[in-house]
Amino acid sequence: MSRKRSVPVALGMLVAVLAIVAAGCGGDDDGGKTLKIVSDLPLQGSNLVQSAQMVEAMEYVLELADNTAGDYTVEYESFDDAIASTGNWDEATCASNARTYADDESIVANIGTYNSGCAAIEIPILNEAGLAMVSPANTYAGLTHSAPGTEDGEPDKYFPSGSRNYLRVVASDDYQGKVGADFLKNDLGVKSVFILDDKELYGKGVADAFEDAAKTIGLTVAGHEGWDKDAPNYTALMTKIKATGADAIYIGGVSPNNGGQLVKDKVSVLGDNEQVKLLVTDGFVLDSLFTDAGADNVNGAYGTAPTLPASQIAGAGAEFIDGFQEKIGADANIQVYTLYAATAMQVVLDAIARFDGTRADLIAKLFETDLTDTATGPMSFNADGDPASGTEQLFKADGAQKKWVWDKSLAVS
Amino acid sequence: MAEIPVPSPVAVRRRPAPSDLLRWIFGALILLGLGYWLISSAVDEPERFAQVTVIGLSNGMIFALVALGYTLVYGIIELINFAHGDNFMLGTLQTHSIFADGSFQVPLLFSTISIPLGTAATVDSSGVEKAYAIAMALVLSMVFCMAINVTIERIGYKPLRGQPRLAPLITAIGFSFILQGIGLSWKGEGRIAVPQIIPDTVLIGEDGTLLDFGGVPYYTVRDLMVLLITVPVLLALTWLVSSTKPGKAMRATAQDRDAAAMMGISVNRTISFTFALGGAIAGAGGVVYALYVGTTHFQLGFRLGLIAFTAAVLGGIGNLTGAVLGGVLIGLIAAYNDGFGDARWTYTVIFVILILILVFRPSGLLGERTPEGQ
Repeated sequence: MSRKRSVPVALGMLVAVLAIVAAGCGGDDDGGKTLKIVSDLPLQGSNLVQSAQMVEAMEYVLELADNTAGDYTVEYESFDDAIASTGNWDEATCASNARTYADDESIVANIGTYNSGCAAIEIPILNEAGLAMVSPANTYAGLTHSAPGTEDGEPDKYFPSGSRNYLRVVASDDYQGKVGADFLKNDLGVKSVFILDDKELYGKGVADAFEDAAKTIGLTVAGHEGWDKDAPNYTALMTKIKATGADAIYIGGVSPNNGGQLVKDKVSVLGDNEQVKLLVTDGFVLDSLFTDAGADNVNGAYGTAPTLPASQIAGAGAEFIDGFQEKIGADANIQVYTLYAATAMQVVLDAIARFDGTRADLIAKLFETDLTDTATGPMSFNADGDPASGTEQLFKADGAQKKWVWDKSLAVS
Repeated sequence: MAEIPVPSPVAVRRRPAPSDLLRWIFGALILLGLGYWLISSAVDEPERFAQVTVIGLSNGMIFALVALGYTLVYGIIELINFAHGDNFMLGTLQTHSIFADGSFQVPLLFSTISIPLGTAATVDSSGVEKAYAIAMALVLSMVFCMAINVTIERIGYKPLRGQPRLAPLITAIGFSFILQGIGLSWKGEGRIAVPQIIPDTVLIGEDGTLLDFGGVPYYTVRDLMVLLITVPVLLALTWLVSSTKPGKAMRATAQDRDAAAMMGISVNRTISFTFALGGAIAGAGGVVYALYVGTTHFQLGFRLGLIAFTAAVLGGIGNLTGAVLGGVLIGLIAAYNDGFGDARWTYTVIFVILILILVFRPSGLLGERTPEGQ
């Protein structure tokens, strides 16, 4: 071989060797495999304040973990399941998002959704793809188990593969409905209640569970109807409720479904929330309701949510909250589901640190979770994918501060 | 040759087809059922019936205000101006600016020009402040919506005059989305509460006011406000169309555009005038809606526009009185179903009744009378 020819060959070999070394540094061999976690939340409309803070909380968890879990580098991408035209979650967007996650092999888990109706669309798609899904906020019982208010065929219809891929870090609505009925009867002395729901999976489910519990404990149900989210106002509906003599209204649903107008018209026709009590579910326990309905109209309303407030969390969770509060600013009010988004991220990172690299094993490891120090305290799951222990908390609307203030824990039995 | 006898015309009574007969019986049964339900509700609970009727009338008059804009434009150029509902929505947002921010605002693509007017008001403001704010809201919202409607007509509809009908129709749908986008970038995607300047004081009912009907409050200052704005607008509009020179020009243009042009009427100017009038009504409707309902959002125009368009069709599209009748009827049906039936079926009930009416009167309740015929 002549010297003239050997120089370019040697250079070529050198480049090839360097390329292989460079690839190795960023590749799988040196504990550097990169995985992706996505979150799926409604990032528009009345949910924006809540959802944007949930994203911040998940990013903060990753920041604390230095974007690693075990031997893996973890990337995170936030997806939006809402559309601007409604400011609420959208069926087509949920389905499209789910197909994107299913097709992208680098994605190992979806932290979402916020709305149970969206989850009902995404779970079956991800189930067939064998992709794990951990919700920080879905409370509709039928997603994981059969209960009062759930539909025939639930939850099996969400899991076409026959095995489970879905878990959630909050308790389901069969608790929320029951504690709401108990609170109205025993604490507020309510005799008769009128129930309204937004006709969506979550809203109707929690309202049905409440109705079932109310009848069981002898609380009179003066009526149960769905409201039309596109109606210009609800004064005629409230007039009918007034005629029933109900001394409380129970609202199951999410406030982006014209909840502000509903609450405003309730106060306009039936009087303030001291005269005729108002109890809403967690879908209404959003600070944006004070803007939507007017702070005076929300003032004095009660809300239930399956989430611990920041003030009631001790230990490692409290440390996390201090750090997070510093990050978002001392004046920012931590929303009801923010810390549960952080918990969901911690649960997924913990499972990634223990899994063998396959989607199926990640699901198995998620079900084996046994953490004692998440942002919301200990976390483990039952075979349905529900948290092993749940909580239900009561919040009261403070019109002057324009925020929901924690009132007390409600006994879950 | 014998003449072939020609049979003299004999009045032949056509027997109704069995399907027609069934249709009439079915329709009559439904009407009887509805009538029985309403009468029994009124007899059983007269106070609540009165209250629900007032709510239905007030909502219906707001629907009618929006419906007038649809029917006016259709009556002249036979175009369903789908952007009208969204123009009305922009009127509600302008009202919010005037009451909440105390300024007249012009939304641009990424910013807003704000002209301070000192019109910010709340329920606790003095009577003079409130009157000033409402007067400014009415005038400025009407001018604002008028300008939008005329602009849309000039850049979107005028170049398509004489083209196949689908072209302006699609353009109208396009403008509907554009106006929604303007509303979205202007005030954001959430619902916004408009300061409630007019108190919910009861005029007739409990609280020791004019009359007491069993402790049920059923006629408030806000209901009166809707009446005081809607009725004069309708009367002024009817007078304008039937008795003034521009109104005669509108009717002539509606009847025969070419003949009107030959008689010296400026067709383009007349059509622009019609759009200006429709915009002004949208602006007035926006103020009334914001004052009465108290919240608004950028998507309001789609659903309310659909209801108002339905009202215009129900009353007989192209007919001003028909639009008001259709609006009030839809308001009443919605209120009776919300107040006595099950709220989740309200729009199903409205459209079942609409279908029934259209089956028997395809041109709407007053469909034969168009502006040119008044």
